[in-house]
Amino acid sequence: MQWITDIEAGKQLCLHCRKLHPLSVHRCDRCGSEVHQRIPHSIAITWSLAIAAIIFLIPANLLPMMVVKSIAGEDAGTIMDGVIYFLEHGEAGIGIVIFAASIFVPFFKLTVLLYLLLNIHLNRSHRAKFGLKLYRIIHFIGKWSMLDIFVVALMVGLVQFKNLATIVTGPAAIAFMLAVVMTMFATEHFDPRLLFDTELKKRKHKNESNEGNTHV
Amino acid sequence: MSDTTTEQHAVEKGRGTLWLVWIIPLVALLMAGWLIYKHYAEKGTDIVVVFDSGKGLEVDKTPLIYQGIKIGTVTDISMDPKDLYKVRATITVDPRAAPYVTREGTKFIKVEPKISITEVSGLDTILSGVYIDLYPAGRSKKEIIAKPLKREFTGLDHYPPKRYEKGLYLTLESTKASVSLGAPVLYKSFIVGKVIDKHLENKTILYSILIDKEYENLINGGTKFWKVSGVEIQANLAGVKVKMDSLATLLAGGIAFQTPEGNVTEKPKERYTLYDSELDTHLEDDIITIVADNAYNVDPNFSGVMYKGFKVGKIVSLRYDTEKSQTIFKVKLSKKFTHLANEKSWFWIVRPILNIREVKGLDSILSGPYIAFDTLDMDAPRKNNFELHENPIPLKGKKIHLAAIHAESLKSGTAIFFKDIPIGQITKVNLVPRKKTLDIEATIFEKYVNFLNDSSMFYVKSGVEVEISLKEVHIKSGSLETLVVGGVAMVTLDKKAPRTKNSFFIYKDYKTYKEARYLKSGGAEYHVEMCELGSLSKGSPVLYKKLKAGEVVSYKYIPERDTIDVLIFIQREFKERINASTRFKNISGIEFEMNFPDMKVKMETIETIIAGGLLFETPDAKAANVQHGHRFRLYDEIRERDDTYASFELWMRETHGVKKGTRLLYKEFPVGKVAEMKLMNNMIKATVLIEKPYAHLLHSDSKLWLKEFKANLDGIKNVGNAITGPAIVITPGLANDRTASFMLDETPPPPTYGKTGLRVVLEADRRSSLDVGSPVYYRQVPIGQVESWVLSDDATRVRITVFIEPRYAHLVRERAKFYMAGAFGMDVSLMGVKVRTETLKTMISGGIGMAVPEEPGPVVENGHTFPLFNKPEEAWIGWRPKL
Repeated sequence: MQWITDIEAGKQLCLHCRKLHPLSVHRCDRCGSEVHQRIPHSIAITWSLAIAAIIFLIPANLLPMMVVKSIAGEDAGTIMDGVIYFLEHGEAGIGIVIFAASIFVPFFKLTVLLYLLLNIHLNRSHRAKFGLKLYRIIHFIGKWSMLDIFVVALMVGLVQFKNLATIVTGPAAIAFMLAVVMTMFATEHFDPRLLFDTELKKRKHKNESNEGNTHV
Repeated sequence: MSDTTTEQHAVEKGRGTLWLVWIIPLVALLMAGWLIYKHYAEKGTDIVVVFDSGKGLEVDKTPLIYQGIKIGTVTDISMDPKDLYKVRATITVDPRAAPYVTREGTKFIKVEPKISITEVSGLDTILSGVYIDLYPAGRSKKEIIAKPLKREFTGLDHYPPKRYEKGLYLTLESTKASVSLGAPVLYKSFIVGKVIDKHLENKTILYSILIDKEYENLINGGTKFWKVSGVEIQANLAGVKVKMDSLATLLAGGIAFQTPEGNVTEKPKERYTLYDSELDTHLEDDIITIVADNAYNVDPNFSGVMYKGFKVGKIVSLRYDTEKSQTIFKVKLSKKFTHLANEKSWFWIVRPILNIREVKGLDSILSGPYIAFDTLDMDAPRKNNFELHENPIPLKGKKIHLAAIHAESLKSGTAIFFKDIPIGQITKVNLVPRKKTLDIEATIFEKYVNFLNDSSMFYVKSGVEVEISLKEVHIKSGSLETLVVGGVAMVTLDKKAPRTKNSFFIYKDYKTYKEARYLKSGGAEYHVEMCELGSLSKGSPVLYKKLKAGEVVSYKYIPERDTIDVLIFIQREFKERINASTRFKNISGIEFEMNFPDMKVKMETIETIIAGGLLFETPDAKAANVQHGHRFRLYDEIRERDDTYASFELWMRETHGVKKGTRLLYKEFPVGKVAEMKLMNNMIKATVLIEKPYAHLLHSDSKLWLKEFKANLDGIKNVGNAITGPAIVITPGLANDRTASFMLDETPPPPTYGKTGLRVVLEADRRSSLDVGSPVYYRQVPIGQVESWVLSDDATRVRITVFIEPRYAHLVRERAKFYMAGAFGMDVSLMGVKVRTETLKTMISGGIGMAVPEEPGPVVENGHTFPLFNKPEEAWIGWRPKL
């Protein structure tokens, strides 16, 4: 491999203002934030948050997201019901957007996160670059995953016609929102540099076996 | 290695708290679990209800509603595998309600909008859709919990009869199922309950009704229920009444009830009879049978049985008995009135009769024929079989017998009149073979019995009768009824006569009655012969000293003598006043007025104008007596041939309405009349009679002029003549000789004509505004007036003849100056305006002023001529001669 990690270079990066510091520095002399070579406990926190998100995704998809109370009765629909409703009514565009934002994206993000975590655990350093790409994607689309919540919030705010029609949020909305938030936090707490550290380990390991035993 | 230690440090630092991270998924697990649990817990318990039809049910929409609260939703609908005609609806019941719902006995009703002519319900479901209503198995938690659990139910399409509403549940029995479920129960048109169920049980319709809790006390054992339909239209001659109990009853019918006051303590019964109408609630169970020849078009559904105008009964059935050829009415009477159907009762049919003989039963045109009844004795024993009569019941009263020779128009029902008021009626006409007369039974109504006594007389009334007295003129056409149908008139001559007789004779007409009556009263009949009848007619009065002494009975024409023979009757007390010297005068109309210019008598003639009359006077009380039936000649006609008149000729160009009989007046007093009119040589010659004492008025220069009614722009003159016709007025002249031939003037002579006084002639250039009657003033005192004016022979001047009153004649002297007083002068100077005129009156009508100088000269003779100046000279005003 051609790259040199900060560890190898004996440097650490302020994740806030992107200033490179020597290892001796604990606080960024430019922006004053704490400086760590790696996000502390990144793996553990990411795991816990990801698991929480997965747990929240279960009620988010099983329970009704939005309850429409109208004179025609009460209609409580899950996210998938909504997607199917739009697809059935020829609004495939909206259906796909909702599906993408509310079902595909959260699952994709978590799947990617789990994949990345597993890669680290399994020391699959050769996938590090691909992993980084995936991480960038989920980081980018993270902000869109609240779309469904936004739609529901908008609907609840707009459709308040007393007896005629009223929309209230269903229990899934809370779960979904929590799932999204957990996923975002997990993504934030994941340090993609760890993907490359495995390669470093391998190198060190190689060096150790070559040069003698050195502690990482 | 510094970097290693740093990392190590960091790791070590976090190691102590790292486990806390795992709280997050734990919390997430708890939260998600709670959310899921809560969701499913809230979803409730599923139950299955089997309905006959799944129509309107929608999965996840159709709610289960209890008392307006949603406690569940239909979550699944499927066919019932046990009975494919039915559907199974799975309902998820709210967990809080589930323990109460899932019990044996709970009822599920599918509520859907129903709009039909009899029912409107579930309107709220039109928008919200069908819902499922629920009645729990009991009223208290304890009661429900005691029942076994159940998850499968059978649903209903209608509400069950028992509702868990507070109130009084009653059952009503009826024969017709015309009231719908849900129909209101009304008390005084106020809804106090509703019909909650109906079903058939042994040919009886049983209605279950619920009376709301707060109205329970309106019901007791004596309560009567009856059906009401929405609209009740009563149309009769008195008007149209539309009664509508409530809109609901219009659609669904309804039940009304009434609770008699009094037996309040009686507890409500379980079962009541539902009557068809309010009237039915009063009906007695006993059926009365009425037999008739004809059904008279009576419709049992509409026609009732009336008692004095009240509907007191109902025709239950109507059938024709072919064997007996009878129509049989079965009638039920109201309880309060059953005692009236007794042995003295009389049932009759009321139906519209409209023909030339009678008009009656008009009220039944709209209501249809109905049966009426009445009773003569309310306490008579009860009876259940009756005969239907065509005529109404004869009123209570005195029964009398009348004998008649001809039946004429007399028949049962013919009314008996007393002074045109019906006081009785004929009830029966029997033929008495031996006597060749008819025996007529009649009833005089109780309240009029007093008018009947031994002096009462009866005659057949028909057409027009005229009865005249000085006080009143009766032209009796009777009522329309008698005019067409006829009737019997009763006359009671002496109100104080005893009441012993019970049978009377009916005279065949008014004339025979009159004759009979006169003879009965001891009077006498005489004949009066006259040339003209005038306005005399049967019944015209014969007067003596303005008192009615008799009347004209009849008249007839006697061809041999070309006269009219009038038969008169003179009452007993005046009979002695008639003797050979008696003079009869016809006082018909205007002539009466002429002969008797007394105002009071004139007033009375208003009657005689219409009816005419005869007047008699007996100048010599000691003259020879005359026999009953003596012939008299009308005195007026005798007098005309007498030598009391002088006659003269009066010529006229046109008649001007003058005709035979036109009066000749002198000073407004009648002194003669026109006796004859003839056309001679394009002129009309009238022979005028003038009473001898006035013949001296016929001076050769007397003026005879026409006084007639005139109305034109100048005004209205002689209004009186509009009524009396024109009259000829004589204004005597001054000439000494007499003549017997005159010319009729169309205008009256000047008012001064024929008066003695000074007449002078004034010559003027113009007539100016002077006219006949214009005054002549001396010192503004009127001393005479203009009598006439003519153009002078050469037409250069106007010669005005002025009449000066005799007492002022000495003022007119030879040197007097006459001037036009009408012209007024106006002097305009620096000092102002001075208006000068003789009098205000002359300003308008004109007049002549006279001034006499200090040396007046001698008194002038008749016919002296003066010049007439247009205006006076200043100096004339100052003249003050002593005359």
